[in-house]
Parts: sequence; structure tokens; C-alpha cells
Amino acid sequence: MTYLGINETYGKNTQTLITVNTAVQNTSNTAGVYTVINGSEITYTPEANTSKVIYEIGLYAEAINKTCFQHIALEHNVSGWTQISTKFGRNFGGNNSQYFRDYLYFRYIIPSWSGSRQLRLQSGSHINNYSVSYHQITDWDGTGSVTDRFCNTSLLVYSV
Amino acid sequence: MSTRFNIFGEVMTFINQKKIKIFKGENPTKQLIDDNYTEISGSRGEILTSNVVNKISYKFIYNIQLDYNTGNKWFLHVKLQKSNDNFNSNINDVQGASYNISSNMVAVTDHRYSLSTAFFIIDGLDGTHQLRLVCRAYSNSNKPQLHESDYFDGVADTNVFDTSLIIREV
Repeated sequence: MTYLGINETYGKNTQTLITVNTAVQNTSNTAGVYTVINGSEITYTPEANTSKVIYEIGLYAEAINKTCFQHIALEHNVSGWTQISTKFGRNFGGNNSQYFRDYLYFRYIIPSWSGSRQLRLQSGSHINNYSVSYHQITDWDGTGSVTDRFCNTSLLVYSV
Repeated sequence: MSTRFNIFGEVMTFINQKKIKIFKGENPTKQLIDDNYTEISGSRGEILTSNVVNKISYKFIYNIQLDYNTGNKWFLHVKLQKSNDNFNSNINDVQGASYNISSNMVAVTDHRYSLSTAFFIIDGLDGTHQLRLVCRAYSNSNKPQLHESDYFDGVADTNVFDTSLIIREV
């Protein structure tokens, strides 16, 4: 292991959000209906004299013995919620009747703005019944049918 | 900034600089993961927080693929642990910092080559702490291997992925 550095300050006006999830969040089975991912929403004011805002988020997703296919959209609230850019869109999913289990980590580099603004992630599909379940870990420690284990949503936002 | 008193009772003011530690694994040895919890090589790091109210960002990137010798699909449980004595006797799971990752469990064979990023924000750490990721397979029929890929650049050859770890006070 190589030690590279210590005692450096990194990023400005850093804000964090730890969301302790206590319930599964299922996205819609109806095509085109989007769900705000729990723990993804934050109100942020960029540091003055910075050019970019970094939005980093980690969360758990699974689909057990079913097809899933989701679009993830990063939105901001500027007189209403809209996608910041379609270029921030991302897809994930599996084929027919598969098992999908993964920890999702997304990082976006967003042009800075002036004043306070809300940010969030939405998740939905363009096809019926391709939903996914967030936060709940249904199999754990070699045991199936676990229903009481959940993964936090971790959110980090800062200016550079 | 924080205010403290020296031995003479004088007020001393410090500028608390937030810490960041960066570790790069170099040629980690392939790990075959069975159904016992094992520390993931390169995932351990230590940080001294400058203020208990600050949170810690933990980000670790590592490679997973099927262990061809033992099965045809893989399923891994992963969890973050913390310690204040380098995991000698003080070992605690970080609540809510765990996840599953697996290949498809239906198909006869699913190799799934995956680069996993574990990213967690942690609070409540005061003073020096060590953090690490541990993992186990769901069963010994679902064993993956870490760090080493068996194919790269179009040939059947071993390719090692160096892990990377960033622990940051935020």
C-alpha cells in the first residue's frame, strides 16, 4: 500500500446527508412514472468563486427474480423540477427474470450557480413492470427472506 | 476553528484542517472469497478526525469476478467496519453501511465482471479510527474472486486491478 497524502483540505462548502432507510422504496411499474430516490434531495448554495459543484451519492438497489431497467435523472429546482441535462442520465438493469443486486455510486460534476438550489435523483423506466427496489437488502449472511436490513443513502455535495 | 487552553490557562485558537487520506493498493494478491467474512485487501485505512462533529467519507474501489474453479455464479455480502485498536479486539459494524452484489443467479453461468465502488458517509467518529471492508459469499457455491481478472486485451491472461481508497473528513 502506498501512502500518498495527508492534511489536505479538499472542496469547499461541503455538505453531507446520511439517510437511514427503514423501508424498501419500490419504483413504479408504470412506464414513464418517476420516483424521487430517498436521501438524494438536498438544498445547496455553491461557494462563491467556484466553478463546479460535485454531487456524489451511494445507494443500494436490487431486483429479485424479475426484469429491471431504470433511468436515473439528476434534477434541479429552478422554478420547478427539471433535468439539469440529459447528458447526466444513466441507465442500469438486467435481462429477463434475472437477479440484480448492486451498490450504486454516481458522481456528477455540475456547472456552479448563484444562490440556493435543490438537487435530487429520480428513477423510472420506459417499460411497464421494469421496476427496482431501493435500500432493502433481502438476503444477508447466507440467509434468504431477510426483511429488516437496509442500506443508508450517502450523499456528499461540495464546490470546487 | 476551535478554542482550547494551554497549561497556563491561556486561550489558544486552532484552525482545524480537515483530513484526507489516500491509499493505492499495488498488485493485490487474488482473494478467493468463501462463506466466512474476510477483510478486502487494500480497504483498511486510518483517520484522526479534527472535530467530532465532522463526518467521514469512505470510498473504496475494487474488482470482482467469478472464481471459475468453484462455481458458475457469484454472490457477495459486503459491510464496513470500524475500530479504535486496529481491529485487534474493538471491531464494530457501521450500521447501514452494507450491501449485496451478485451476478445473475438464474442463468446457468454468469461471469459478471464488476468494478464496485463502496461509498459511505459516517458520523460519530471521535479521535483515531480505522475503517475496513469485509465480505463473504452467500454460500460456497457462489464464490467470487477479487482484484484479478482472467481476461484482458482480448487474451486469456491475468490482469490485476489496483485498489484505491480515499478516507476524507467532510
